[in-house]
Amino acid sequence: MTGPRWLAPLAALGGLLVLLPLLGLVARVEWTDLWSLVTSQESLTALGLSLRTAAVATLATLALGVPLGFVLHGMRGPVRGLVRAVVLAPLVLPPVVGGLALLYAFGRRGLLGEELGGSVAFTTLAVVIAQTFVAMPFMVVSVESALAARSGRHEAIAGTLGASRTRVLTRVTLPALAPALATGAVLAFARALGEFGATLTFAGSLEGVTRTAPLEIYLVRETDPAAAAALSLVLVAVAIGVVALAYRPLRGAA
Amino acid sequence: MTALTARVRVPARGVDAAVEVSSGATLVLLGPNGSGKSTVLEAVAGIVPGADARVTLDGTDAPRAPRDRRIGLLSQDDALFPTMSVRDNVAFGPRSRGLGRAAAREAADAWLARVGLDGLGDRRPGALSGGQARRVAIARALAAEPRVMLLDEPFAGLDVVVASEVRGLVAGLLTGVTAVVTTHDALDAHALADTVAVMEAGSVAESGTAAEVLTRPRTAFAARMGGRVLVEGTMRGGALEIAAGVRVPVGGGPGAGVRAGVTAHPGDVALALAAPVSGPAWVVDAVRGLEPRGDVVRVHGALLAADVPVEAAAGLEAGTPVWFGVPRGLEAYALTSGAAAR
Repeated sequence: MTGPRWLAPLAALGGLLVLLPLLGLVARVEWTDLWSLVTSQESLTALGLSLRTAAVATLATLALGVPLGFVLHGMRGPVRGLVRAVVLAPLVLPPVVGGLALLYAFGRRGLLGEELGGSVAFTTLAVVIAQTFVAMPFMVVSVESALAARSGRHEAIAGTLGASRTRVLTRVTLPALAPALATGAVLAFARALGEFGATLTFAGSLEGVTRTAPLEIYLVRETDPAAAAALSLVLVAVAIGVVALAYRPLRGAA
Repeated sequence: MTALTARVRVPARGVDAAVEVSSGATLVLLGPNGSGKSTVLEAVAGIVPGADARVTLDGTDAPRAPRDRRIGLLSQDDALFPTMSVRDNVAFGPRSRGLGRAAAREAADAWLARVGLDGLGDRRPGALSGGQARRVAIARALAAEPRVMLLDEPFAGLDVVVASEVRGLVAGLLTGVTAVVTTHDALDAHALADTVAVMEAGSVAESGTAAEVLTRPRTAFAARMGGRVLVEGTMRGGALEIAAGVRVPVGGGPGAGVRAGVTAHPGDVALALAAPVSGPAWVVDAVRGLEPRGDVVRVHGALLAADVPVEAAAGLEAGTPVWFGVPRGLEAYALTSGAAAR
């Protein structure tokens, strides 16, 4: 469906709102120095840390978010709504609040500070935890809505054929969920890559340990705006590239 | 070879039915859409949440979990796994039972050959025709070596040529297999059934051997599902008295005073609009509904039905008074003996 004509100018306005800042960024990039700025030691360290932590965080959202999506799908009644709201809270929480919350849970003086043998805060692990915290809701939502679109018929028939529940999960359900998992993973990766507030609060900004690309950009934006713009361009390119390559809108029927 | 009994209650769907199949036999559950046939099969397979189903296999209670029951279900929608090749679909059951990859592949290919799909193992289910998909689903169900096979409307949704091919295939494959087949088509019952149970509104209205139920139905409903009409009455002096003064002469039957019936095919019943004087035994009735059946129209009255050419049905509408002509000399049979339903 195309909708009435008056949607078009509003859509154009919306598109511009996204496009103009990107153009502004591109206009700031000093193309002659781009390569050296991006390949400077600080930039490479930050970028490498970002890609590694975001990749690990994406795997973590798969390992934890997929089971959460299943459990949520299996719940009934008001409990489900409540649990869903809690699980999805990081999606709408200001990241700095999320970072504080993580600190109060896993920091030296946090709930589990003693049990964790000191503190995971201000380590690379903290970066991954912060990224997983903010990115997991994308996976949970993806999985839950994909499961809701399934009738359960294939799973029931697989059962009559003698398959164990694990086998039904791995051979029937998960393959059918592959598009939803890909979508969830892409969104989670992109979100993890862009994580800033929770990371800064919970993990700090130690070069090579917790200073991811967004933190590096924020740090050098005053002293070296050209480097900030160059690094930003890389992040924009990676984000758009990943999403364009792998993200497909969820379809109603699975 | 396994004997099956099942008592199924699914209150949410208004189903309360009992079925029984002896070892190696085929029971056809005959009933209109919505009569609960599919629910009975799914509950016997163990996949209806909230169903109270007592299922025995050879007199022993069936395990609760569907995967331990070894009751195969061919569902109406085929439910082939779209993410697997045809071969992997068929190999799914053998693999689930612990067969090795190579052995399961071999078994799957053998089954594909048996259902006439040699060489299609590498296809995706999405690339199959309706008839091919049904054959794959049949092969997949049987490859799991079920003790009992349940087939839900196995020929529905196929065009007539393909349906009769698949019917022949199923008839062959079910030889010696304990099976329950649901259908709303009398032809399937005639082709496959050792025993028939007629389902109406969630319960079994009548059951018995195929010959009994299909050729000597005891209820008008069973007669209609079997593609016949049943004329009910009381034996009086060599005729079946349907109402005071309305008699159908019969060729033989039980003694006077016995509740009895004769059955005929609607194509053998005549229809007249004005009071006729000769020919068959005429029964006055009124049109209740018209059912188009290809080149004829089945005119249903309260008591009888007759197939007439389309042009002859043109002036008819609900309420039109008509006379149905029942052939004289049909064999009457008692309707009271034996339980109507189990």
